[in-house]
Amino acid sequence: MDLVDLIETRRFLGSEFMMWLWFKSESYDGLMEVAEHGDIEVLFDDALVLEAYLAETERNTFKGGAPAYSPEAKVALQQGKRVSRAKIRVIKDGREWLLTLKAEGMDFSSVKIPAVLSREEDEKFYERMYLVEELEDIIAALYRTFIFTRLSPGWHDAMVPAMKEWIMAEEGVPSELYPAQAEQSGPAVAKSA
Amino acid sequence: MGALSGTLSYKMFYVQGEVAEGWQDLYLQQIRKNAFKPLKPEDEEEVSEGWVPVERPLQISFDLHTLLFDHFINLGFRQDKYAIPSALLKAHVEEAEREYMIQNDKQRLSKFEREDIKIMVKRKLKEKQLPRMKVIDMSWDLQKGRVRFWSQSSNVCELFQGYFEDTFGLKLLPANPYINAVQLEPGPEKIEELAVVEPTNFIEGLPAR
Repeated sequence: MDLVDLIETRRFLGSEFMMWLWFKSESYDGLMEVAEHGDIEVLFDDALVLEAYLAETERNTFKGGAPAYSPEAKVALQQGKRVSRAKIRVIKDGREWLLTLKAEGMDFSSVKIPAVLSREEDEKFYERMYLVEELEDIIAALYRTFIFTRLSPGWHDAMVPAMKEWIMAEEGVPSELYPAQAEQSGPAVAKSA
Repeated sequence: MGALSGTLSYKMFYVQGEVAEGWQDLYLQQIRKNAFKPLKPEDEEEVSEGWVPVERPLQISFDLHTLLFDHFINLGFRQDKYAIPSALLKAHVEEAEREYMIQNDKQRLSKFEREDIKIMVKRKLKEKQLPRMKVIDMSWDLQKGRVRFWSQSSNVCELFQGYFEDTFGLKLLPANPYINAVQLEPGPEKIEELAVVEPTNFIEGLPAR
């Protein structure tokens, strides 16, 4: 398979990553430990889009409130729809980023970074780039955990059954449901992506 | 520039290969060679694209100071396009054909006459309007080998990718779930597994694909 085919046929990993992140975030009320970054809060915010995997025209768009916790979003998941984009809040050391993450291309849009302190144009640019890079690194570290978990036997043995239970659950899920033992972060620390 | 203020929406690319030795002079020369060239009404081309300094889209002169921000190369990718509405062009061409036939006492026009008239009408219309300008910024982090391009339109991103590769002689890989996974350097075994991994079926009774 050439690179273009690999890129096209592996796009589903983007939506599976976002579903896994949603499950983990809901299980732990957003609190999670991220390699090299320590304790981070990752919360699904007020915009969420779910799409049918085969019929991409079948789409549920949720705006306002906390759609990730709404019964309507759960119903869409139960119908087999997958996350195609979500507004996500990332909090680290009291600093907050807000972004829309798109599953298909792992693209960042409408990224709001923490307030910058520099006034000079050049300094402001470096500070903004530093903050964007920090966000990219946090998402990359989470994606690394997902990829290693996804490619491990624990994905099918423990993570998928737990996610199925989460999808079918009518009420919120207890943190014990999240199979932390199935999580893998790989042999080495993420370089960056 | 998108990187200087407001919210950020961009497409990330990973640079493949090493930055060339003596890159400052080489890249400056290449950027100048691929700088934006303004369109003229008499040109056959209706689209032109090329590099401009960030925040100064009307400039086409470069020095290291204008593009190098510490370990970042910042540039604007400008695209100008003549956009003559097809209905307007058609109406003017038909009018010009009628006038030509009367003046030359003709009942019919040959294919070549029609083409010549169309070219002439297009040129006249282009003289009356300015091309539409679009400038999208890019920021290349030379240390990390990442390029951020302030557009997510697939057509524009493809065009930019080709232009970047031609200018700097380096390949770009666009961010996406597969490329991002490979960029994490998971090892050859995991990369092989990635190539055969199948979508997960989260719902019993529904096909995974």
